[in-house]
Amino acid sequence: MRASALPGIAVIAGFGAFIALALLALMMAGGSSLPLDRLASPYTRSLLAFTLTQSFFSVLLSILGALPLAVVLHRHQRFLGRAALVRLLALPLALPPLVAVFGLLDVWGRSGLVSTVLQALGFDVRLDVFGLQGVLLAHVFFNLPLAARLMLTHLERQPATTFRLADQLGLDGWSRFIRLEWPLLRAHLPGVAGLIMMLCIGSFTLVLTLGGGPSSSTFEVAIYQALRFDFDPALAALYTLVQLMLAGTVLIFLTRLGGAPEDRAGALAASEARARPLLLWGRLVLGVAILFLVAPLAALVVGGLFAEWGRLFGMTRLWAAIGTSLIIAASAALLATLASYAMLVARLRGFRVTSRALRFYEAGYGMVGSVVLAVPPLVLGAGWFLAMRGWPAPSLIAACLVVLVNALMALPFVLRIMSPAFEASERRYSDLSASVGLTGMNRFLRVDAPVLAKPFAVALAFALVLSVGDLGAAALFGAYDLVTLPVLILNLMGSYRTDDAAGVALLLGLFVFALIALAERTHKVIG
Amino acid sequence: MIRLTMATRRFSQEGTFRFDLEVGEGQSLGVIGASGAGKSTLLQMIAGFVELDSGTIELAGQDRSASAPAERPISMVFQSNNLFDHLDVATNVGLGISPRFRKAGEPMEKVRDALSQVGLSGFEDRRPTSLSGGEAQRVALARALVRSKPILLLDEPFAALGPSMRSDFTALLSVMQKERGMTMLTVSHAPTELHGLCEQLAFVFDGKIAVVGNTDAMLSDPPHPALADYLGVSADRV
Amino acid sequence: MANRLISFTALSAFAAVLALPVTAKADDRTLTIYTYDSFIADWGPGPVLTEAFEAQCGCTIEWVAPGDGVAVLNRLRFEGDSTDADLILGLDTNLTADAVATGLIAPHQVDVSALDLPIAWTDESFVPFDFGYFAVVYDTQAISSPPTSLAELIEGDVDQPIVLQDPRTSTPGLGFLLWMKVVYGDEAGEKWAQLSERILTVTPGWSEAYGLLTSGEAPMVLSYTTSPAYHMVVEEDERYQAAAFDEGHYMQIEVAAAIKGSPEIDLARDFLAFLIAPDAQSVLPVTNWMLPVAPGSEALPEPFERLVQPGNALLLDPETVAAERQGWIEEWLDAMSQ
Repeated sequence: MRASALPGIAVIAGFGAFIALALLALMMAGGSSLPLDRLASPYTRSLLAFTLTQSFFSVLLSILGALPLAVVLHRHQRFLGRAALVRLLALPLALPPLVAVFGLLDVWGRSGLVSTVLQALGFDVRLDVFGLQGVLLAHVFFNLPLAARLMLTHLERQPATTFRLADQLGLDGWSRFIRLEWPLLRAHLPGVAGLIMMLCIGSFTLVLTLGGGPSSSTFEVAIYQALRFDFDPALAALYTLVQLMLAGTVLIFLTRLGGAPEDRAGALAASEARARPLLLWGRLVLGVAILFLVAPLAALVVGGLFAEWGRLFGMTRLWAAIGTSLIIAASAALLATLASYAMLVARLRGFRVTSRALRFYEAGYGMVGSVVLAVPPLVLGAGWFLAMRGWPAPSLIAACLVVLVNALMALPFVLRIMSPAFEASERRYSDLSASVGLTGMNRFLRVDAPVLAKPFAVALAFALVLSVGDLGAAALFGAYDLVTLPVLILNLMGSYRTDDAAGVALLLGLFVFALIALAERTHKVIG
Repeated sequence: MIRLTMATRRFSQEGTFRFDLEVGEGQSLGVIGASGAGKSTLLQMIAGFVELDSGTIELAGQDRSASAPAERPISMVFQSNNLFDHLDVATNVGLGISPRFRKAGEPMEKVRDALSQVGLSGFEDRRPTSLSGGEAQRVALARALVRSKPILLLDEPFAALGPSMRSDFTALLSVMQKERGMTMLTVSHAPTELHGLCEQLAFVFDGKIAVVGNTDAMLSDPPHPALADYLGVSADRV
Repeated sequence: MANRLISFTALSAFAAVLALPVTAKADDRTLTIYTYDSFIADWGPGPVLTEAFEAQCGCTIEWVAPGDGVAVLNRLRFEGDSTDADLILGLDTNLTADAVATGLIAPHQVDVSALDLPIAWTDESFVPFDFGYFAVVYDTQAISSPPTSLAELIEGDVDQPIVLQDPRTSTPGLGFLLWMKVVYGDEAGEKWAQLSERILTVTPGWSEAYGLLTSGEAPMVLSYTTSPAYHMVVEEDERYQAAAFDEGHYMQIEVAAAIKGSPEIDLARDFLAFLIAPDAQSVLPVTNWMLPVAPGSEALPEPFERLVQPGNALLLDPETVAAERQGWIEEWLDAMSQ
């Protein structure tokens, strides 16, 4: 182990402790005995079963749908609207679930677009989205674009000659997929699946709203109930531990399945892909993807237009929310980016390649890089609120907690954006830097910062997007009297002002889209 | 036969490239020039990876200006990454025959033949990651052989090879080009490597073909001041 | 990069400043009130009440809104003796037993004789400030003959489904659970199983459910008798109406209380009295969209006269709810999972 490993180790240990201490504080608040017996109840088992079922199928469907989309987007680089579509892929993830639900229902609901069209065509049907199918629909809406985006980026990261060769050899259609694209993507799938799995395990609002009844409840519901209505912090902490173990097991299983994502040396030069004719199936894939992705977003835009903009813009709370959201998101994004940098430096430079210490570190890196998504922000907030009660300046502490939680939740994505660029730069400049004696801060300023400025910027923008739309941290009950945009949306909806809520959601969506577009102008690759 | 007539492409950053060039059937032409002058763009235009804004490209007697890479009578060997790492050597070669290649029957025989021609008998089941740079380039050449296209394009084929491997590979290429009567175009930044492989050299300068001539004459007595500069020969000797 | 770092540090520092509560001048008396967030929204009662009370007390009100009513109680539980709150506002009667159990609630000592509630108010800790009746609110464009009783709701057309809230996570959800329990007692489980056919979905909170009604997705939702008042007064829209049920309607009474050991306990008690005085009682219905608990200084807007007037006001006492809630939720889970 070398000195350059220390900041990364500190980051992982710090975030680990941040989670562990929150859980510990909750358990201690419960008094002497832990309610272990409640863990073995049939209720818990049914929650476990549903959590696993819904997240398994969500992952499966998202990946099955994302594969053709990523392939078509990679093969066809030049059709009209491609750039906008690729940017839109990052949007659903940034939407508060509550907002997305209404966009989805405008399309797929009983009185939604699809039902209306079917009825106009003379079919006497109304789609019933409530139930497992609705949960899956929503999860696929959120995660298919993410998966497609990650896969597309993975393909774009391959050496340009690989695809030129395929062009010359006439690898097209199915043979291109079987001979080239699938083998390239297969190694990448477990990582994508793991990320989506974590997101689905922690899903709550979507699952309850679209689930149709209490038989569609995830562990997160139990945690929420335990912490709020039952006020049983210890039970909440126990449930969280179970959820984390579940997430960890899934992740280990997936890692075994696929091994670590392989790295390929090679030029990252963007190849100029030829305009190839969009065949029927390609058009079909794009058409379905656009309908599936864009229709609910379009419904949200249309819904947002009905807001009373004059009243909305006159609202001091809106401006306060915009300011608070920006500041919190910016702080969280910066923190996540710096933490990722430290973690990557440690992984790539901090250890001898064969050392056992590296394997330990990799384990920690993997956990912080994924499993954190399965920690309910509510639990973190409550735990730390308990731990820090009686400290001065509670509002300041609350703001810091929200920033920390947001940074933690953005970390898995930021790591994934930064690591390929970092690894490429490392291959190129590692020996060179060593030979001229650049280390530590000097190496950061002279090599890493300029070379990685663009991926850093993209990571920063993406973290910003995630934090701005995040309601999770706002759920830090009892610890948060700051209003962010998602909180404001919730407030408006909670006061009959649905139209205004839709307006604020539109503002949020536009802001997020602008950020993504800006990041893409800086750098072509995001994901 | 390769013929480019006012083959033009404009890039926002790199500027305009416009090439006029003719390579006769069975000829071997070397392309030299400073980096950024347009050597690779020329090759990629011919192969179809870069599309034309205007002008024409004729290959083996047919206008191929708008054809997809796979439809052009061309094989290409790149500087590196010539092989799919996830496929074994035989399949990498066999894909030159058909995208639906299977390791059996007549196609597999052709693959064995080609591998033995490049001196790699018995390498059929090896993975590209276990090959040396020279071996990988020879596998790529074997694939070009089974494709049996009349035109072979080589983009810096020697860059990844050591000195002795270079001369081996040059000899191999020479023999094949003559045996098969292929039209060959080789891009290199090291003109001396092209000795013994190309009868003629083309010098690319500022997005155009500045001059074409006999290899020995071009190198010993540069007919263009920029070429003299490029070769490091003082201009007053022109 | 270094410059960027510095500017972000500056931003973070700015964030820290923003996060500090807006504090009053040092020599002022300050009354700190914990409440739910929509109470102090621009459109909520908070701003109007603040102005009115500050004018009469010569003090400053500092609002702290940790979330919804449950969050207010939980924050109090977490903070214990060290709480900054002088007063908590916005719990309902289902939570008062839990709140009293913290030992932090002071007797209100307010004259409640002016109260005009459907039930007699005997609680000496909490002062009610508004109330509502749970009711099924329906879309008149989707339903022409709404159910007229719980029994009709349970047995009615499954093609006209209802959206309910989850009693594990939401106050109205718990309210409806208690309503069913009061009306059906031991048969509640069977009735739930029967009703489950007609339930479109069960949402985590009121907002999601009500959004499903206004977005046209659901024709009926559990809400309050006062919900139509918002649409009729603010939007001048008669589309959404509440259905009157023969069995009577379960009540939700929102309450406030002073905190024991608060240095401003007198100020807190003044505020409690202020809440049920005529001025505040005129403000609350048209900002919080609930019913007044005492006569107001001005007449309510006309649509309030047209709201459903339940013949029978149902309410379980807080102690029973606190003791039985867990068991009843389990019964509900069983019935709904069949």
